[in-house]
Formats: sequence, C-alpha cells, structure tokens
Amino acid sequence: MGAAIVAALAIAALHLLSVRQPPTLWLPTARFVEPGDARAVARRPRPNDLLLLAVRIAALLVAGAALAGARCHAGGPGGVHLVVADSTFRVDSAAWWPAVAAASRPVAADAGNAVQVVWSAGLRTDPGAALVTAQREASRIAALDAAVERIALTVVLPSEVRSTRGWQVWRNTWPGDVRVVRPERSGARDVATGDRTSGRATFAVTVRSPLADDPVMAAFAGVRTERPVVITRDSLNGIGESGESGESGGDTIVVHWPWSGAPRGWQLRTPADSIGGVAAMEVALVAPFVRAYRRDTVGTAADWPILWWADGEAAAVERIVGGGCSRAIYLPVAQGSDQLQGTAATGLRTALTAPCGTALVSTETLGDSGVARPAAADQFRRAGSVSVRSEPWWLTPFLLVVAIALLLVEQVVRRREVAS
Amino acid sequence: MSHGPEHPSAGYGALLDAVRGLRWPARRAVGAAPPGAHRSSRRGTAGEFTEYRLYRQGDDPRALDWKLLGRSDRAFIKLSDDRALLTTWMVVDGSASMAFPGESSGLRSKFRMACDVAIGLAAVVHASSDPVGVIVSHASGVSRLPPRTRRGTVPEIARVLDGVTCGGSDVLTPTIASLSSNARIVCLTDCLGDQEALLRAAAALTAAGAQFECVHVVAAEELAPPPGAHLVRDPEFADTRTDGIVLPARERSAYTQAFGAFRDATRQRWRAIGAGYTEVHTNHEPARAVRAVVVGTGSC
Repeated sequence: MGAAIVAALAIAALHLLSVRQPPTLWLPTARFVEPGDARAVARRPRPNDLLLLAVRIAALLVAGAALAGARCHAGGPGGVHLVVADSTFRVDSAAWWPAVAAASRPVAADAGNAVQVVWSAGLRTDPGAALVTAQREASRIAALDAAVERIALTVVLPSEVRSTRGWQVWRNTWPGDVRVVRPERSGARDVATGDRTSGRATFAVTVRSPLADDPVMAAFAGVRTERPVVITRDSLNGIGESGESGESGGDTIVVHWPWSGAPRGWQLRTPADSIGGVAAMEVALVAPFVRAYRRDTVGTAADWPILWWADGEAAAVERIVGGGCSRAIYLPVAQGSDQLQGTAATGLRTALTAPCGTALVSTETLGDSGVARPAAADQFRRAGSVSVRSEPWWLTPFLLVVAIALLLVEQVVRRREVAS
Repeated sequence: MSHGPEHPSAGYGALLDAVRGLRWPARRAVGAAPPGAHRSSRRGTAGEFTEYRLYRQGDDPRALDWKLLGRSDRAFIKLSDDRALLTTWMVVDGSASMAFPGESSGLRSKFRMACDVAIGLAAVVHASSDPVGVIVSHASGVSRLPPRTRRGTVPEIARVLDGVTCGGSDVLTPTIASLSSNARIVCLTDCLGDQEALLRAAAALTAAGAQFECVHVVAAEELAPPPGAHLVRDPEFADTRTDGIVLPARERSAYTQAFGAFRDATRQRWRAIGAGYTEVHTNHEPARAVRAVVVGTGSC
C-alpha cells in the first residue's frame, strides 16, 4: 500500500511538470521577437489534467489496497487490553481481578478496548514468561483482527518470584509499556519469606500413612530437609489443613495429602476430569491423573499455591501458621505406583519439603510507571506471518476489477485529451 | 468599437482646454490659397509692406507705387508677403494593431491615443481658422470628413473617430496618395503597416509641396511587454494560421534592441523625406503629445 501511495505522489508531481505553450499575447510588434520554440516547460501551481490525474491515482490506490489485503470492518479501529496472569491465579481470580480491573481502568476507558486474559505458567519462576506469552498472543490477535490498532499489556504477577532475569531479557521485545499488577495478598507471605533458614538438610521426612505400600512414603524415603516435615496421609476428607492437626506449630511443616479424598477446601468436581500432569519448581510430572476435586476458591486468601495442574489450577497450597506453615495437596496417586519416585517428581518433592516460603525476588521494580502506552498492533503484524487475505474474501478481486476499469477509463480520457 | 462619449466634445474638454492658445504655423511657405494665417509663397498686395521691386511686364499695375513713379519716373511695385490658409488632413490609422492594448486591459490603446492627439491638433488647426478634415482607415473601410472651417468641425471629427472600430490591415497609402499636395497631412500611425509604400507616397507629396507630419504612436506595453513567457501573435495576421513566437520571460534584450532600432530607422527615414516626425507613447498625456507635434521636438 505504501508503494502505491508513493507511486501516486510521483504521478501527481509529474502532472505539475508539463510541456505546454505559454499564454498567447497579441502583440503588434511580434515581428521583433526572435523566433524560438513555441513550446516551453512550465510549472503550474495546480496539477494539469486533473481528471486524468484523479483516475491514475485512484487506479494505483485501489490496486495497492487490493494487493495489500484490504479488509472491511463493521466497527472502527480499536484496541485490546491484554492481561497475562500467572496460571496459579486462575483458581482465585477474585483475589487478583479487582486489582487488574482497577489498574486497567484508564486503558479500558478507551473506546473499543476489549479485555483479553491469557494464562501463563511459570510466572512465579520468572515473569519473563508473561512477555513471551504476550508476544505470541499479540501476534495472534493482530493477525486475526486487522482492525486492532493497539494492544495494551497488563501482567499479573505475584509479589515475589524466583528470578527476574528473564523479565529483563524479554522486556525490550514488547513495543510498548507494560503494566504490572500485584494482588494485595502478600502479607502472610512476607512472614514466610523470613523463613529462609539456611542450614544443613538433617531431617528425614516423616510420612504417616495407613497404607502398607504407600507410593508417597516410597517417594520421600531418603529425602533430607532443613526443617522437619510430616506428611499425613489421611483418608478422611476435610481434615484440617492448617493448624488443626495440632502438629503444625514450631518448626514442623505439616503436609496434608489424603490418600483418599481431598483436604479441606477442595470441592468435589462433577464430573471428574483428567489432567495430563502437574508442575512445581519448574519441573513437570507428566502422567494421567484423574481429578475428582478442585480447589475451593472461597477462603483462599491466605493460601499460596505451590503446585499446579497443567491447566493452571492449584494442586497444592501453603498456608502460613505462626512461624511455620502447613501444606495441603490433592494429588491422587495409585497405590503401588512409582510416579513419585522418578526425576520428574523432583519438583513436587522439593516443593512439598521446601522451607516455608522459598527465597524469592520482589516484583516491585518490574513494570513501567505512569500510564501504560499501548503497543502498535502493526509491529506485531510485521513481526508475525500476517495473512494478506482480504476480508471479505471477494474484496481483493473486486478491487482489482475496479483498478482495471479505472485503467481503461484512463486510456479513454488520455486519448480524448490527445485528440483535443 | 466606440471609443468616446456620446457628446464628443464633452469628453475632450480637458484636452481642448489644454491646447487652447497653441498656434501651429506651417513649417514653410504655403502655396496659393485663400488668405489665411500662414506665410504664403506668393507675393501679393497685402497690407504689410515688405519691399520694392522694379516693375516687370506682366505685373499687376495695381501694385505700382504711383507716388514713387511720380517723384523718380521709375516704376516700382510694392511687394508684401501674402498669408494663406493651410488645409490640414488628419489621417488616422485604424488597423488592428492600433487596438493594442485591448480594452480588457484597461489601458489606453494606441488608437485612443491617436484619436486624442488628432482631436487636439484639429482644435489647434481650427483655432487658426484653417480647414481641417479627417480620414480614418478601419475595419469597415475608410471614413472621411472633408476639411472645414465652420464651427462644430472638431466635434464632428471626434464623432467620426469615436465611431471607428479598429480592424484589418493598414490601407493608408492609397488614401494618402489621393490627397492634394497643397495641404498639411498629419499621419497618426504605429508605422507597422506597409511603411515602404507609405513613405513613397509621403515623399511624393512632400516633394510636391505638402507638409507631412508623422505621429508615430507607440504603446508602452510594446516597449515593455507584460512579464512572463508569452506566445506572441500579430493581431493584423490573426486570421492566418501562423505559429506564434515565444517571447521569453527574462531575456528580452533582443526584442528591445530590434524594436528600438526600428523606431530609430523610422524616425530617420521620415525626416529624410522632409517630413516631421514625433514619437508618442500611450502612457503620455495627449496634450503633451499635441504640443510635441506642434513644436516639432520629435518626441514628447
């Protein structure tokens, strides 16, 4: 399209230069003028042959629009407010959504802005994953909807993450400002982050299970921790997950992992579904799991997910209790299974036996201050493999036919002017 | 194309006032003519004594000085300079080139200037009780008003001139050739017609005793054409499909020099045949041009 505009401007400039006869002056003393060429190059302040010029420019622009993949849209150009949130927030959107809504109000106030939420796993490990996800999603949005002109980005991050190096690397790839929203729920976590005991792993993990061949017991056999960890394999649904067992006081970390049913706070999922894996500490355990329960979103303000299903749902949560913490996990493992013993379960084992509150980096310094400047959607179109097909499909052939018709009209007009 | 008001004399009031009191004596003695204001080549018996001359056979006995004959017994006749009228013809060129610049420009055309000068000179001539007439060649042919001395002659001349529409080519030569040589002929033209023929006719009349005056009317726009490049065409050849000539926007020295040389040559050739020559520009006041013609300064 740009080439068509440049060509049109060039033609307009050529119309300003014309070889024409100067105006006639009836001069009785014409005989004293030395004979010369009766034609002279003269610039005119206005383009000559306006009709011919208009037809030529119209033909060029129409052809350019056809080849550029013109699209017709019912509505006017608009923007998209892209919200990338950690998949761990998916289970408790009531906690983070008010913060996102408040932060994105100036953006949403812009007419035509549509909010689109994308979940991204691994933001707790490094929020740079949010930028990668945003890039991919923005390219997809720009390719699908040519009317989108700008994309505003808001990233919902935990107050603390394990590393921000990825963020620094990927930040420059987003051609606009990035608004970072942190749900106000880090008060309990602040206490936990103080639990960064750096000592030797001297405690063995205690697994209290009524089962003889409990796979959990096998998985944690030989695991040494810095703090005492007790894993209770209750069978009753609803046994207290935090402090109710009376064992979570002091240094001991109590992990409630029912061998049947789910801890308190999990609701029965009807019908049950299947999931392909669970992830923790950047290590995914891929295996078919049947989920009969889901995390109850009510009363989870003090909970902090530490283990996630593949779709972002929390599979285990941690609650700060006094100077320690208790953890509750719903992960049905078949009796006699060795799923928890391989290296794929390293992350799960580490997450469940880690000290309360892993050493984390604050996300306070991330994000751009001030009003977020949306990124231009064209930059994603150039970057991505954007389709040049027109919408509707018949628009390109229609415009080409119009361009050809205009060229025929140009021929007629030019011949008529030459004849005159 | 009418050039003047409905009441001709009313539109020339300022001009006639400006030329009042002017006298335009003949440049040389006038031939036989009724008594008038100009010195005649004839010696007659006018009241103003000039000299004595011995009587020769054939002299008019009435011119004898009988008292001197009685005292000296020699016959002398008293001579005196005769005064005669001088008929004046205003010959105005009404060809197409005289219409330049056109009415649309709002400027005084060469024909308008020629009419003003002709009427001013006619008023001067008429004030000397000399008969004055006008001949105009124009698009429809030739208009002629015979020389008269009666009152109202100048307005009649103005009426004739104002009723003229410029057009056609210069046909002054046959008109001038038909005039009497015992007259003053004032030719108001732009000298862009058949000047060779006109000069031959004028030379013949001048040799025969006529007093010829050429008033060369030049438009200011001819001296300095309008700015910008133009395709110039001669209005006298408008009907022919001739290509025009480009007058460049800047370098016009060739045109200026050629036109200046033409005017110099024209002046020299008219004076070479014994005719008077005055160059008049359209941006000059007509009264000033009339004085220049009367005084014979050559230009105003």
